[in-house]
Amino acid sequence: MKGFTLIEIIVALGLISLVSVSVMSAVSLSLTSAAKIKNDLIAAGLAQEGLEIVRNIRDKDWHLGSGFGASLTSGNYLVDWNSQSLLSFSDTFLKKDSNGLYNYLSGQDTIFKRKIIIENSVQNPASVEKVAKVEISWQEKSGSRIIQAEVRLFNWR
Amino acid sequence: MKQNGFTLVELLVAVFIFSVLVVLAGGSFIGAMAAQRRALNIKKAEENGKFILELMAREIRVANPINTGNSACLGTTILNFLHPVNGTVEYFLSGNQIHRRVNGVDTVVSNPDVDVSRLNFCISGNQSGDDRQPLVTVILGLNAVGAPQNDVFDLQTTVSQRVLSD
Repeated sequence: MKGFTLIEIIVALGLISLVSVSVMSAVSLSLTSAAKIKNDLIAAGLAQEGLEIVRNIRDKDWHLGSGFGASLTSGNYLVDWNSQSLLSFSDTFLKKDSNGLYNYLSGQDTIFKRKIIIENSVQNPASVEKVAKVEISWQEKSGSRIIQAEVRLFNWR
Repeated sequence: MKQNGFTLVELLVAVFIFSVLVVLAGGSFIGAMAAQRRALNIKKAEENGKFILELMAREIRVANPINTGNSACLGTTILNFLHPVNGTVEYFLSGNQIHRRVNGVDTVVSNPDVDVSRLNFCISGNQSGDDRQPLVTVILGLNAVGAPQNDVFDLQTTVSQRVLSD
């Protein structure tokens, strides 16, 4: 009698399942990375916002006639989208309201946290340069993620 | 004489097993296709959102003056400002697409494959004598055409005007 032996069938099945499993994992990988880039992009926008608010606060000091860095004492802070001064830090999630506005006052918690860090520069005295850093952190299925950015603000206008 | 061939029962069993396998394989194939399309849609929305946000942020940063006055967050869907090189620039939302009007010439900057569901500007510090730099928050919501509700990108960024002007 001619036919397949058990070994042949097992090898064939093994090959088929290997191929289909790898195709499936490629597809699911592309989906999870698509979800990842979505969060990355949102976080990048929020990070830029944080640094721009810090810059805005520095510029406000100039308008008020205060010295450079008068409102930028070193430490950890929060800033809201419309903050005119640094807010004291707490480990809270950003919220998003029904208008799509990310803020700390109203709406549902998002997955994102934002921390502003003000430091003195190593190279220059605090009267000349301040370093502002922002950290956006969030949890994904694959683990926790963080993006960081920094800007160096100078006493120069 | 012994006849070679399949009995009816053998045939039925074989057809049944085959159809179960085909349904399983077809189902997972369709699932894979749907997942792939969803990933592609997210990518499209992401690329467009990134481009639009960057385009706006770069121009608003150097804008002087910002002609649109202070507004609360739901207030305005139009932003008008003078760019030092490009001239008068206006961004607005019309029919799920973002338009950029430069010196009266209108172009669509969002991809037709992408629906922009929301474009809002929150402007503060744009009054003379308020001792502040103008601050523009851009709120952008977009998704690929036909994408489900939970694939909507809600983006936000804020830009502070660089030129010192009270």
